[in-house]
Amino acid sequence: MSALLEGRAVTAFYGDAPALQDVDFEVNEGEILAVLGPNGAGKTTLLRAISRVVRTRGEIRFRGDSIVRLSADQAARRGIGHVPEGRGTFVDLTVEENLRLGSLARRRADRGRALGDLQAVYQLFPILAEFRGRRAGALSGGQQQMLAIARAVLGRPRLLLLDEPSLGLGPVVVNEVFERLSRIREEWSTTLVVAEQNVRQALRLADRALLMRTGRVALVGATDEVAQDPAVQRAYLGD
Amino acid sequence: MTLFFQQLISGLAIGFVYAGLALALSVVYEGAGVLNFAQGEMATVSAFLAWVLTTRGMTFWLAFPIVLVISFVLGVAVERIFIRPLERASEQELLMVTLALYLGINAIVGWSAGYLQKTLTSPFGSDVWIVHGTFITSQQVGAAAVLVGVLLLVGILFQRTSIGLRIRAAAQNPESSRLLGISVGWMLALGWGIAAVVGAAAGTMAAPTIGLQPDMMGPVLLLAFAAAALGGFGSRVGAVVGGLVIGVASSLAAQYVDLLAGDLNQIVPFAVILVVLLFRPQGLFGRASALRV
Repeated sequence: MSALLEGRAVTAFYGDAPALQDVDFEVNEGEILAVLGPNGAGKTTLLRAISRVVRTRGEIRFRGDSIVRLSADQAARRGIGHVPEGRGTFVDLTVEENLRLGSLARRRADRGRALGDLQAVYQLFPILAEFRGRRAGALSGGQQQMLAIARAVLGRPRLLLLDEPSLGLGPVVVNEVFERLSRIREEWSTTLVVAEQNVRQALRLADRALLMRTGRVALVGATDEVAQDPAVQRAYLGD
Repeated sequence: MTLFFQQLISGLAIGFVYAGLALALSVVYEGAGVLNFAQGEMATVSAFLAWVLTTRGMTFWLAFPIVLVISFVLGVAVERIFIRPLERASEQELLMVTLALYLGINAIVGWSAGYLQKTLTSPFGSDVWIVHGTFITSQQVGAAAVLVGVLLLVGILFQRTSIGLRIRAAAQNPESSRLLGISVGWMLALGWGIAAVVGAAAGTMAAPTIGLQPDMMGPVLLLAFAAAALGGFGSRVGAVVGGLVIGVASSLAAQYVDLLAGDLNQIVPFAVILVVLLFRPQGLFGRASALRV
């Protein structure tokens, strides 16, 4: 089986400091990959490298084609969705306008289904249907997170990157968001990469996990293996 | 009372011109975060284009759409050539660029067309109607009707079409827009093009009244700034309302305040800007945020 996404020796700089150093990674079609690690380990940079927000050295292949020369908007139109840190809400637009923007990235073949998909998204997140006419900036943090996910999903991405979807949310809302993510994988046949500091939640959701430390891959494997790793136990799962 | 309506009518007529230019300023401001000092001069170029085409025998209503199309292309070109390369520049630097464009375009128009005032014949004829003692000219009514049409079309474009949604999104949140596949640079250039079209309509519609010469849009630009400040920079509705208010206010002040009848009438827009900055810096329709001039 060939990987949906493949990175080889990916290096990125943040100013002068290397944020990613020779990172190799693979994401398989249909899986959920958790990207774990402390603050500053390079999780966000890794996602931004994949969606071409930051320039990198090394090679990244998506569905077999090199994407390192693409700009961020081109990568989005190729089918890479990205829910950024901070949710990227268009605060002065309405909820529905935010969602319509999401549909713009989809490929021509998927255009006809946009309306049906919008209804499906409203079923997935009923609160967005209720607030569709509101200014998006007036939503709560959790609602904006759902809006950001819904907006990205409407682009019908083959690969959806999520940066810290649990950040700043209460435990009940976090559970809700993660439950929706696994439904999105099933119902929208999408592959997910989730960068998370909430290791327990992420390991429960994902099939595989990639642990980062100071810009390098420290460990990668199936979630139960990663959960058993002594270092992970000590740092993240110890009681 | 007749006098009042007379001033109201002429205030509204010129107010639509201010509204058009203020809307153009507002569209650019929302995208680039900068006041385009060259907006008036770009409109002057458009008005001269209309004059060139009509004096070469083209009918006005054939020339007008051609002028709008050329203005659109020029607007996009100005963004691509002068603004885009300075993507990472500060607002002050951008402001300097638009000031330089203002001086440059003004000089080019003066050099190529001369400083003698020319006449763009009104496409609406020179009929005068007297309604209950108030004089209304066909030029006033026609120009206002065309500008209302242009303002409505721009409103529909921004609020109801997917391209308008893209332009608004790109102006508001460029990073997030890129992640949704929007080519932000081109959307901002489109905004410049649309602004140039609105400015062209305003300049061409005003030219038969205010006369055609290189500095014709200078005072209009000043009043459009006041209109945009009053309405709130970046607010399209605010720009239009602001333009009408400024037009009517200047006109009435000239009639009823002896001191403001002559050149001192130019005080009115400054007074408006001052009052707005003191009491409601974000303008009537603006959202409270740092005001960048």
